[in-house]
Amino acid sequence: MNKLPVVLTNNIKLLRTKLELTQEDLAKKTKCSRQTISAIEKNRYSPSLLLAFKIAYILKTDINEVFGNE
Amino acid sequence: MNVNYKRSLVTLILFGILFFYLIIHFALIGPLEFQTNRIHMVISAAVILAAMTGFVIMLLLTNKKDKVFDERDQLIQKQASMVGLMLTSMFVFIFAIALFVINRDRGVIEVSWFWLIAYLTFAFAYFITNLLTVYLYKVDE
Repeated sequence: MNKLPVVLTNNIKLLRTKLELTQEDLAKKTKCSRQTISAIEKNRYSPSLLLAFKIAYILKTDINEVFGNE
Repeated sequence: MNVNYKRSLVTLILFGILFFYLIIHFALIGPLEFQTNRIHMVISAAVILAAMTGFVIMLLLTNKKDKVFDERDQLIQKQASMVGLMLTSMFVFIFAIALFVINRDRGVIEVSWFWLIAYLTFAFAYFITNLLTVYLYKVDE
C-alpha cells in the first residue's frame, strides 16, 4: 500500500530549465509573481490546484510529472 | 521586490509614525490640555491628514497595469488581516479596561481619551496588519 503523502515535492526547476524558461517567464505565463514561483520551487508554498495545472500546462507535461510527494 | 510587499512596507512606516506620534504627543501634553487647547487637535488632525495623503500618493504611484496580485499575496494578506483584526480588538480592549481601572476611583474621565482611542485604533489597525504582512513576506523570502 502506498504511503500517505507527507511532503509535497516538485520538479518545476528541472522541467523549466529543460524548456529554457526563467522563473520570470513562467510567472508571466501563469499570471503570478516570480516570488510565488520561487516559493513553490523551494517547497515553501503549496500552489492551488488551478495554479498547479497551469504550471503543468506551461511546462508541457502532466501534473503528476511536476508534483510528487515524499 | 513585490509591489504588495513595497506597499505594505510604506504603509507600515507611515502608520507607524502616526501611531507613535499620537501616543507621544498625547503623553507629553496630557488629556486635559489636549481637550481644552484646540491647537493640539488641529496639529494632530494635520499629521493624520499628512499620513493619509502619503498613503493615497503611494497607492497611486504603485498602481501599475502590470501589477501582479496572485494567490500567495492573497493568502498572506488574508492571514495578516485575520491576526491584525484580533490584535486590534485586543489593543482596544486592553486600552479601555486600563482606562477604567486607572480612573475607577475618580469616577470621571477626560473626553479626549475617546479621541485618542478612536485615532489610535485606526493607526494601530493599519500598522499591525502591515507589520504582519511584511513579516510574512520576509519569512517567505
